[in-house]
Amino acid sequence: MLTALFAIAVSALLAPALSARMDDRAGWFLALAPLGAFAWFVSCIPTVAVGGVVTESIAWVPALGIDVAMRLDGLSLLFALLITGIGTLIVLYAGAYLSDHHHLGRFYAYLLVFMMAMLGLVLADDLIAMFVFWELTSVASFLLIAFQHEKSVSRRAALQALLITGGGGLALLAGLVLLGIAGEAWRFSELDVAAVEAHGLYYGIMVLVLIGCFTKSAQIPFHLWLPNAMNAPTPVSAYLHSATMVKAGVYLLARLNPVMGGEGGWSDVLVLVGASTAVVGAVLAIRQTDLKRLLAYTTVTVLGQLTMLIGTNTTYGLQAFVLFLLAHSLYKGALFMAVGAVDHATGTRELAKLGGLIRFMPLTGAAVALAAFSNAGLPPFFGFIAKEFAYAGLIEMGVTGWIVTAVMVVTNALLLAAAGLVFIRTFLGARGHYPREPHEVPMPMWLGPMLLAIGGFVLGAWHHWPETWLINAAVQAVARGAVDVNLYLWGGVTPAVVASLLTVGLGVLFYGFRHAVRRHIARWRVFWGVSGDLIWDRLLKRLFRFAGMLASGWQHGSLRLHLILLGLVLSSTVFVGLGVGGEPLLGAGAHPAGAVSPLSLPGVVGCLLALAGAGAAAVMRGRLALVTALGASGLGLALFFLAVNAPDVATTQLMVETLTVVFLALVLRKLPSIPGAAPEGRGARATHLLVSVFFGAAVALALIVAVNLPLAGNISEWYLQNSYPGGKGGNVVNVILVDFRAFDTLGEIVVVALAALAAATLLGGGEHTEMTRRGQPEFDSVLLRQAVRPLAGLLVLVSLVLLWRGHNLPGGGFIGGLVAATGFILVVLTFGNYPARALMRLRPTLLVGAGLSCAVGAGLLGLMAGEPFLTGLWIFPLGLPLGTPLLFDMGVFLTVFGSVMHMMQRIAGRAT
Amino acid sequence: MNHWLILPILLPALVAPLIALAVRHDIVLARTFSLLSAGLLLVLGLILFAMAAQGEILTYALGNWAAPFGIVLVLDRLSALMLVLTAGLGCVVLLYAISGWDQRGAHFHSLFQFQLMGLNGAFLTGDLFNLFVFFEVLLIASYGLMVHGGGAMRVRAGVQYVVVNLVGSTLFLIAVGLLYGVTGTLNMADLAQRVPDVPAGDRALLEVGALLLLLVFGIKAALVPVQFWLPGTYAHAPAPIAALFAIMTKVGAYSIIRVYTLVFGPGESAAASTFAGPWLLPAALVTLLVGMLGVLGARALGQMVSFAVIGSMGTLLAAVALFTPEAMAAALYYLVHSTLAAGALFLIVDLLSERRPGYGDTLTVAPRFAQGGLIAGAFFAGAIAMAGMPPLSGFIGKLLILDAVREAPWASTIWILILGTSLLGIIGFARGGSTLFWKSASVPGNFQAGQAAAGLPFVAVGLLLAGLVLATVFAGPLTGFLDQAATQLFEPARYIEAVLRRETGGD
Repeated sequence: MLTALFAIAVSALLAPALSARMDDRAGWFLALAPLGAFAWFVSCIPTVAVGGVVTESIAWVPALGIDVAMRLDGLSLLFALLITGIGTLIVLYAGAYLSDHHHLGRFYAYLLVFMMAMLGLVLADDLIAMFVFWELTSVASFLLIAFQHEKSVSRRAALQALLITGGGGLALLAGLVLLGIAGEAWRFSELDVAAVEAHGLYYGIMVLVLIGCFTKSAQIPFHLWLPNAMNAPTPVSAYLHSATMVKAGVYLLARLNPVMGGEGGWSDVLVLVGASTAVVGAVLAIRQTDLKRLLAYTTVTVLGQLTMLIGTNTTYGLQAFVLFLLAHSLYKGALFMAVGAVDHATGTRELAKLGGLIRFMPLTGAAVALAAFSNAGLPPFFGFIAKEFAYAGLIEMGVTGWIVTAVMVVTNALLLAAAGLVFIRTFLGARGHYPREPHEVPMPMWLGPMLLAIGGFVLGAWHHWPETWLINAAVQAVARGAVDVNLYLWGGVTPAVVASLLTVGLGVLFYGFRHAVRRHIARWRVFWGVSGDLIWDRLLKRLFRFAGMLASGWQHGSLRLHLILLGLVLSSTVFVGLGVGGEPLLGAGAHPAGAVSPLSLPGVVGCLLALAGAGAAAVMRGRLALVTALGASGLGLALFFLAVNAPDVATTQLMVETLTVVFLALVLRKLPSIPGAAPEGRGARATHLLVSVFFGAAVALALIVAVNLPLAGNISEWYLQNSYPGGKGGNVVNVILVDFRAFDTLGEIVVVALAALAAATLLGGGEHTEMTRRGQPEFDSVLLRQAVRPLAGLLVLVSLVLLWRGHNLPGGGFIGGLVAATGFILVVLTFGNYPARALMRLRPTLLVGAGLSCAVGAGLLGLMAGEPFLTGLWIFPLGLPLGTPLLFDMGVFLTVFGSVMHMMQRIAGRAT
Repeated sequence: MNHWLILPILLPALVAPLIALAVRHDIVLARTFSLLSAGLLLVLGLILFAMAAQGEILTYALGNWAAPFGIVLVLDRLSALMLVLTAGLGCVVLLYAISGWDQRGAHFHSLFQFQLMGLNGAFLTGDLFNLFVFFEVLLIASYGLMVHGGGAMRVRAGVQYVVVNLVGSTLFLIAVGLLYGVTGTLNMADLAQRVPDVPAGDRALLEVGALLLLLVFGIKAALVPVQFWLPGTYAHAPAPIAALFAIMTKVGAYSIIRVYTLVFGPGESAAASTFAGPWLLPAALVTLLVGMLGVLGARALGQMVSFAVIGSMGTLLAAVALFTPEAMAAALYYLVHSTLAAGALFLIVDLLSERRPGYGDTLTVAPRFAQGGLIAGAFFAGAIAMAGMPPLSGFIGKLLILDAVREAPWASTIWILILGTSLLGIIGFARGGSTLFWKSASVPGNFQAGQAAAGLPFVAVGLLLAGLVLATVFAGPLTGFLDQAATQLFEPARYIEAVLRRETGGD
């Protein structure tokens, strides 16, 4: 079985290439795979007919207990034969039907993929594997419906079909997983019926599974998509939308009937929905003037009847189900193909234009005649037996059965009238008005309908053969218990026979008065007006509009709004977190003894300065004023750090603030003024204020609580103790930076370097532009020129000192680099960019690279010594501790210096 | 000492400056180095993967300072998986980019290497502050990459991206500070050890820290309500970069998984679990819904895929939020899948917009273009995977998640949302594809094939799609490994023991 699937899949892959090489003859080769599969399934008949099953399995996702498990029993076999048999004929038919289409290869591929999926669906024993194939058929159907995708109706129909069957599929998935859980197995054949029935979610499972099946098999109210799907090329309609795919839902209902078909209302739902679908389909069918749409609606009817027959769960009903399934596939496949042939030959499918075709297309006409007889349910055709058994099965049900039977008699009569339309109106009578001269179609196009139609006759006339070899095993698979199968054409004068006679009589009447019937139906126009199609369109449009609004609602593109949202979320988070803690937040007097009180004069001044700066920044207008205010705030912070005995942090803060102010001022000066940066209303400003205060309060509160705690753990103590013995440095901050946690520092200098590169990219200008040469001095003053030279030299010197002593005293590579950069920036500001470049000689990017290499190299030395990356190695020439951490610090120095200079040169070098 | 662990960080850290300084004017050399490095990273990743698969948790103490005093790298199954995924995606994206994208701005390859370095570092580190540092590295590198090639819209989106993420970084710093204040340590294993012992009076701060961290990682992972930056960023980023960014959201997810299983995990002691975890599930479910509705409402294909990424993060985090080994294994499978699918789709978006000059990737009808059929086919496969339709890995991922959550208290809500949003995704992608490939076919005319149809981009897309197929076919072995990875995550004691065992042994 897996081989059959594989062979068909391979031929699907080969199809485009093959048909490009050999045009429409490719069909004959491609039909080999399904034909071979058909032959194999035929060879399985003897095994299955006596109650045997054929199984194959390979493991797939053991975590879920999912296998690709195949199991061939009577029901599967019947379906497999239909799929491969009709499939073979369809492939041949399609070759002729679409012989001039330039994407024929693609069509074959889709069709064969579908065939593979459908075959997998009916063979799979594993619930999930079945579902995978199930969805694959939906996907393939989507592609096939939209095959002529230049037409908007095709695209719409494809989307509609995908949406309905796909949505149903998702419900089915939920149902199947629950079923697997409830039934304690992932195989259809191993489901524990008692456990499923006793399970609390039994009804949930039933509803979900039914939704899946009803959508797939176009039951009311999901029948919408099927007639629209007839926009697909005819081979698709014949194969997918009448003979096979739409029966997948029915197949699954039948497959689950033994499991779910207990007393839980399953039967009632099936009968009710099936009967309504049948009626609606039949009434709609007789309205149609397009032959193909007419057939489409009769298909809906039949699907409804099949569903209903499963629901009867009676001996005759289940036999009728299997019989009807087979009969319908044969005659409807034939009719569709024939209608396609008519369309192909005459250029129209409008009933009004057709007539008298038998003279031009005798072979097709004969096939249609045979199929239509079976369709009409006349003896001795197979359709007759099916109908007979259906009536018998319904009558068996009792009072409901009688009512439903009455309904069915009417619908079957309508079907008979429809069959009459297809044959009599089209092939007999006067010659119609054809857009082109009718002619008999090539052999592959009439062969299929002919074979199928003959099949319908042969199986009916010699019904012992199917009874023994096919029907029996299939019925046993559907039924909950053993069923005695016995087919007959004539069983005496039973109520069923009476019903049959009534049907034929009514049918003839309907055909005779078809115009009157149509008029009557047309009167309910209001009713058709609100039919699902329009609702569908509106619903979908609304949904898209809503989603579009939602999508653009988030994407308003305003950074300010985003930040407001972020600020609110953030502050709420903090408050919620603090609130939930529940304990008193500020443990009074928790200060450990000997802690440094932050209340010193410089500290207070610093705090006030920082606050004032921040406040000013919020109030003041103008870009430079903003920069100044922020600078003042930063300066205040630096002062504060100094006051709490953190000289390293204070110096760094000071340098960073200085450089920031310089950069911002330069950038803002060079930027063109931004016209009308969104004039803010009073309300907006108030909102901003509120959000800012809220945010600030949240963070402040959290921090106050945090610093109020004694620092837990021993890590800081460990650092203090190990700084000198382990890190050979007295300045524990620096030792942490370049040794204990040098890896962090390495990451951060990468960030600094990258930020410089990225900023430079933003500032524009490639490496090769002359821009950097044009920079003018910012402060063109003689006095400054005299003073700056020594000052800059001094700063660079200081920076080197800071670097050197950093390991033991406040300082270090980071601060050093910043100080050196400040010195050079003074030079740039005073003398212009070009002289500064000449003075520096090296490209800043080179410095950055050297710095990074230096830092990484320092780490690598450790690695080379067999120790982990960044392990400190020390030598003591003349008692002086020299080690790789110093080298690392030098790397930091160079990177920071180079990065700042890189940005500076870009800014200063830019023409204003 | 197992020096393999440092190599995934060290290698790109060495190659990146080399490219930036030595070979920056020679694009061929730059490409060679970059590709070589990415390829080597993949090999390294596989070696480390093989090591981690043994089940032992490997550590690497940087500077030979024992944890918790120094910084430590830790390799477990999850880290190894992420390394392989990163390197694999990196290689493919690079293959795509070297057919032209890398020349549209400066420093593409060195930024790319730094990006890989940041990602690898984030996945390997065992230290919370060091995680912050690597977040910074990958943020700044990704920013550079994001504005690569310039353009007003892109720079604008880039500024939004960087500002939002800088706020995130600040937050990270505050959160780390708070946690350090409460526990006095930054090492994650050490944190895990100490969190249960935090006195009741300090729990409030701990909760704030945990919540803030969730928010920080949520920003990275595009979790509602802080997901808003993603569609603009991804849709405007150069497509290969957007494809690489498929792993960036996963950094957020990874961090959530790591921190909330280890540090604030359900763990052995109930006291350790904070209430940040329970917030994750509702947020993730809303994320899922918002993302998939966005797919429906998107006006351009890039935007659509971006929203799909948000949706997939919702799915992923919903599974993570249950914090059971089964759900975690399912989430990890989905993580692998969604990374590959998003990567593939973004590359396809670029293939498309490159061929429709003047139309780009907007969902409008445009004349036919070269290789339309091939691109349509690739899109079809990618969309099926992303929407979670059978038979590709998205389906298996969703199935695993559905199966894993069925015992959870919110099971029916999760089921309905996951299945319902799948349908939204299917409609959205079907409509998008229908407009772009089918409706356009009815328009007369052709775009002139602007550039020579290079094969490499198609190879790249093909590789990612092949990855999806492999993840489907070999779902068995893959889920087997992921089960073990998830189990390992829920045995934090072993992680802690592996990291801190050297404490007594000395250095």
